[in-house]
Amino acid sequence: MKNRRMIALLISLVLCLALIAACTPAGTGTPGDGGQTGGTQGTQPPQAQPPAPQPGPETGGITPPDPNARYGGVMRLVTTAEGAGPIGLPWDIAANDVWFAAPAMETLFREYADGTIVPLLAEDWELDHDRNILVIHVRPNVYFHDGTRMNAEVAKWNLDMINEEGTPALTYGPIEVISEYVLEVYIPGGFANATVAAFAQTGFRMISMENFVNNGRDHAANNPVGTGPFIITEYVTGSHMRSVRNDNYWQPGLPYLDGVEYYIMGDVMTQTLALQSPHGPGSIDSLRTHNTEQVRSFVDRGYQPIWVQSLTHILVPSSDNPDSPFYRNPYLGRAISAAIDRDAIIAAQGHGVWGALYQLATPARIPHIPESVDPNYGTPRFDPDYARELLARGGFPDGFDTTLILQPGATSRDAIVAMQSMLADVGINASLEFPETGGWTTFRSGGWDGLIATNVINHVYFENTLLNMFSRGPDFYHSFYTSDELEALIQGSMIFGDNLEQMRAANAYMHDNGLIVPMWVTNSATIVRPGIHGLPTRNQFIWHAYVWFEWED
Amino acid sequence: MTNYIIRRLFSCVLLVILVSMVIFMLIRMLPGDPIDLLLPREDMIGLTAEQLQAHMDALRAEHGLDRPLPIQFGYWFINMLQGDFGRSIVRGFEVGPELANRMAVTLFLGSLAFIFSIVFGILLGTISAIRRGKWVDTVATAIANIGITAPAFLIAILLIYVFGFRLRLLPIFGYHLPWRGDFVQSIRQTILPVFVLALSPMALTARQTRSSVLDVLNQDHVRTAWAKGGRERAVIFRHVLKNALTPVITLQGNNVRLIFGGSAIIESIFVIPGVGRLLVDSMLSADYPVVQAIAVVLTLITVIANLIVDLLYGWVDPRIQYS
Repeated sequence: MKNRRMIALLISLVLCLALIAACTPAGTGTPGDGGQTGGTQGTQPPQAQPPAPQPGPETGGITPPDPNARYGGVMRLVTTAEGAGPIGLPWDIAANDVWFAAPAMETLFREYADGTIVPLLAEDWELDHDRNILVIHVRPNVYFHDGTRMNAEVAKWNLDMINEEGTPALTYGPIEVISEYVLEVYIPGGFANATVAAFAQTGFRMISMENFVNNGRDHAANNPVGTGPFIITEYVTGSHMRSVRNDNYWQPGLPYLDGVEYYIMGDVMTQTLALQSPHGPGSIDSLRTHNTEQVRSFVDRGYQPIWVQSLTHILVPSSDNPDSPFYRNPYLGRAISAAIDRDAIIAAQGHGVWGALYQLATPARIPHIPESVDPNYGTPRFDPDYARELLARGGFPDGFDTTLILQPGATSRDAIVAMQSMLADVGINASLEFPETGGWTTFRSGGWDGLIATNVINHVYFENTLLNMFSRGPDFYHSFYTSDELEALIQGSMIFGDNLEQMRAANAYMHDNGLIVPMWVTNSATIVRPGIHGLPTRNQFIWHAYVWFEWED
Repeated sequence: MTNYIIRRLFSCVLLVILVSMVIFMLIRMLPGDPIDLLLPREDMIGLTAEQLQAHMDALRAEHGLDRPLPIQFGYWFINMLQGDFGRSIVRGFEVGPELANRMAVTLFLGSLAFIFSIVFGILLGTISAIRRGKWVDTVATAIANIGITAPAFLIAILLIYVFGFRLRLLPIFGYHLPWRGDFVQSIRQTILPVFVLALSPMALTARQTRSSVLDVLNQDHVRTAWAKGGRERAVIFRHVLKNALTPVITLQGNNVRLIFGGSAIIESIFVIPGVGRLLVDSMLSADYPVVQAIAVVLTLITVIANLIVDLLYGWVDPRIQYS
């Protein structure tokens, strides 16, 4: 009896030891077999490997094949959230699902992260300013995956469908087919700097007209047919997409890979283990994540980051709510800016991937505004005494009570709690609210009293950020005060050509009047296994065709 | 017996209707508007406040959200009875076919986990009771305690780490049904999620079986059977187990709920395209038709499981009369 108990105890001990042994750190490996190369490079964007050969206007959007590239292999990528809808109709695709169609569908133009526009399925374009007409020359000899030809008629049909069934960000039409490969698109509102760029967005991907017309809408929605370098063979909503090489791709010599697969994976631990596993089925090669700790951890081990300086985090006081202390008060927003020690929060939470922010304009992609790269420009820096002085000038020498509402998933809750403590130090007692998505939209679109902690997408064109988020039309932040002066500046920035002064003035107006409190800019990233070449330095949708593995798959 | 079944079925239908109504009302009481989620920021460019409101009103009407709640419920319920669960507001897919696809995965894995938990739970509990105080009992009790106390997500991550990442015996993520692709790969993908789903119900079953078997072992008829020189296997199966099973069967209704309720976490960790993950995502985005449909189906499963449990009492113990 006693011996048997001892045996049981011994077995339990051995099992525990085995578990502990299994949990010890993994050893080093080669790039192709797990990628744990123990590198020490930092995570500060925008450092990355030298860019692959890029197409430009001078090459007409065609990328010459890389003579060093190796053909073959299947790349497996992960996105963290699903939209779970069909992906065959670009105008009807859920935002989280746009990645799945990226290897298979292309747009007329391609927009680089720095704002450069190059033709893709178009061969060239012209702007007719007298008639407000965008003339598009469609590239000949491009075929969809079902064998049908891409031409001006198909482009017109696509643009018309996007207009009719989607909600495009640009007002355009009617469209006229001039010849087999030339069409004219009327832009009734006239051109803005971002007009052509709008046609490069994911909602403007081109699909096979014949597939839609002959097989019906539902079939087309569930069976994506594009012109891209990969042909989708399987898409399971909420799970994965598989694609194989398009041997008839219009760019000679591309793509290099045999296939691209996308998986939806929400669990951080599963993502981490799958990316650390040796390349092959059951592992992943790339992970798109907002988790700064995860980014830092992988980059420190030699994984490659494709940076997305995606989000500007700001506080928006309720400056248009008459019941709020912030109501048209230019001092309080600035006082809050002076009360927050951004550097401390960033050091604790940003893992070297966040950057402090004191103005809306960031050097995100193009430094449109000279001030965006001026380190001394913008809202007040951390100075509690100055914060108290501004509070007094704003009529609240003893501070006030307010609410701090966090947009779900916008930033770390710990950062918000730290901010609450910093505000309390200068007399602003903020109660915290962490609503779910539904509750958040009620605040945002219905109005709030206090501060909302939110993030703003850094559009390549700064005027689009201004218009989308802060103009009266969208009324995106219901309790944000868009004065006549600000509205005029925003609308004025939408001209074609030199709009620099309007953008500078709008940027200055917002922080001088305490309408927003910039906090920090976050860099999410796509982390890629070492040994994969041809990656873009900044995140884009069109890059799968240029990627190759340095190992034989 | 037939009357009893009819009465129970009738009460099941009432229960499903009641749950449908409660879920229907509850999800609409949550703050937020799914129509807001339908409007990407870019879509609002150039719209005045009035245009935006008109656009949102049109979308609300398109999804039938502009009607009074009782009318909405009536329409939805009648359509549901005809097999039409509507269309997802936020994602746009037909709920019925999507639910069928995903439910097939969840049901398959859940059923396997249920069978696994019953078979091994009873086996473990019986052995543990018969060998009370021996090392087998110690090990079985330790396993059962781990199953009851350890959170499923933690077990899942540990198993992925050990068997997927370190030993590379089983896949880390992904799932497809065995008849929809590589059969062997599907079986390999099945092992870890089924084990994790089954662990807690198996542990509960084992503990309950051990306790019941120990009670029965001390009863007179068992002593008599032993005294008559019956073989161990015959005594255990014929005289002990059959009499010990009633409370174990009662537990299975709860285990069904545990397995299908736990599928949301397990499906997220193992990247399984099942209904649990869809439910969580839909709840967060206030996607009413999807949440309602899943809630009804899960309620049906639980209700039917409990009905089967009730009917099994009579089969196990003929003394139980249905009136």
